[in-house]
Amino acid sequence: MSSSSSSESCNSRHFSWLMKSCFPNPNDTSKSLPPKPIHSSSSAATLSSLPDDLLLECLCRVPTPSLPTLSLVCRRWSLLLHSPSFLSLRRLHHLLLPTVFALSPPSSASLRLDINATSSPQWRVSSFVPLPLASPLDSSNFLSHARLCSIGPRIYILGRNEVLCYDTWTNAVTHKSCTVFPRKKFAAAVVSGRIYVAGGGSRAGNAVEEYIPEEDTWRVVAHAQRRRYGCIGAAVDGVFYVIGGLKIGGAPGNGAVRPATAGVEAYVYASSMDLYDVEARVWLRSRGVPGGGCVVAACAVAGHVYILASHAVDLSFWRFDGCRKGSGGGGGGFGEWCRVKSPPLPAQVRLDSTVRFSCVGVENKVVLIQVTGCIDDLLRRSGRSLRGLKEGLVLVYDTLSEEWSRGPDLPEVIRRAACVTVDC
Amino acid sequence: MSITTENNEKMITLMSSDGEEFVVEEAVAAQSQTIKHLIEDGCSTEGSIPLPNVTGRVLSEVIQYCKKHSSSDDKEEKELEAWDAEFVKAADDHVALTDLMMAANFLDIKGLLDLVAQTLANMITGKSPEEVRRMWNIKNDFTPEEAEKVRKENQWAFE
Repeated sequence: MSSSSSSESCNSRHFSWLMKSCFPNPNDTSKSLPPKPIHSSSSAATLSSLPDDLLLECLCRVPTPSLPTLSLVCRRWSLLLHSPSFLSLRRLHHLLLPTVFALSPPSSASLRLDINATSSPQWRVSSFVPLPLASPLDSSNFLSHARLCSIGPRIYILGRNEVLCYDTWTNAVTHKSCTVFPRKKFAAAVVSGRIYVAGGGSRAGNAVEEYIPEEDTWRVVAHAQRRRYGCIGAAVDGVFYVIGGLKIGGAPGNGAVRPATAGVEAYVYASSMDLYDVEARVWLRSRGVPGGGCVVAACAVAGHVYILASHAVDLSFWRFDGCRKGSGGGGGGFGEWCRVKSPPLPAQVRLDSTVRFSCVGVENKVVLIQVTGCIDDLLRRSGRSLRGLKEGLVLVYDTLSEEWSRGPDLPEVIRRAACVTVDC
Repeated sequence: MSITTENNEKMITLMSSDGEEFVVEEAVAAQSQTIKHLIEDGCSTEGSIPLPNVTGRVLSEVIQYCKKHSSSDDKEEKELEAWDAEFVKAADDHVALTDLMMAANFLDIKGLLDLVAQTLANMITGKSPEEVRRMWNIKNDFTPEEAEKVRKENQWAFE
């Protein structure tokens, strides 16, 4: 009895127990097979002898400019440098530099904006993306309808019939598997290193697809209650948000929906979002933007979903608390809406197909980038002549100070850009 | 066999994989979380603690590091940093840094692990892929097609 209790006390720590179990019993000399010593001979020493976790500890401390080169050393290094563990280690060591990329047809220039730069941030052309498409027109169509997602330094350009992966380190573009269903104007977001897409096209129906980058495979993982088109994707705390958009078609055999009803339904779609819990594989209760309106831009920042809604006469900007209970960090407010300061845009600006904003989250900032249309033109039409709001307007909302400021305009050559934040 | 010195400091005996014994103060050995837990669990009272995958040469470097860090307090941070830099430079001449890193990991000495990892990181920073491969005896295992792609990517990467 006493011996069993003493052995229990010795087993109090799992790791110690594990360690001890590896030790040879000093009294047992007959079958002791000495473990292979780490230090066999110093000349044979190579970084390859390190197990993955230790090699990652070294690689994650290398400054960003040297990383592209290191990914060319061998397969293993390349895989490690693109692994989720590498990213989380970089984040831990505060070595990630979130940068906004704007990909623009037809020249496919990629622009980067370091929003946290100490001096005033500027867009700079980093490279011309060698899109492997037949003609500039193709690239133009492809990029303006595509959705962008980033995993580590790689940008996935999700088109209707084509998926490309643009490596911002090496500037190489590779073809990847297409989504199971062709999609256009759909919602896309990244949860735990995997891409999720929903909506966008009647053939896709209500299927939600998941992309596993390591395997380069898409598969249908869920079915949505609502079939949305023109929706926006975001991800917070393991939940994939499918936001806004229009309703696709009617229910089968229900073609005679009265226009009035259809209008009301369309309105419900435009001002609501569906929440898919990726890990639990369940849908949570759908939420509606409190003030109604039509969602025109949305993104996730620091545990919240920020939504810009357009109303008949003005814009409203909302914050949705996406931190769920039990995930730590004061997640008590999950599901709470809070109206925050609207972007400083003239009230006459209605965001529709003529003026379009792309919205991306960068650390604790929401960046609104005007990607199409000219606000001055709109204003002129409504009898105003306020200058200074042309194309390529960039507005930055700091979620800490809760203030808007104006960022550097997109250069004039850039039109219909697709934007995404990349952790470089 | 825990011996006690005149100033009542408990001594611990560590045995390397090649049978070398090191007698150190408990405070020094306890820089290693792994050993600290063993001591707390009362598993060090009889005989020496065998460290089956750390050689004597590596262990002696580790102990040097632990001795310094158990005797210095936080106030001497600057001085300690300079000492660390010298230490890791000297250690590089005697043992492979990768072995030192594996030992630091196995013994769970965070400071030493960080120090060696940063040193290795500095050694591969700013080197071309070929230089890194030569320096660390790494085989280029990309297929010819991939290598060609890599070559093209290189042109971009180094522009």
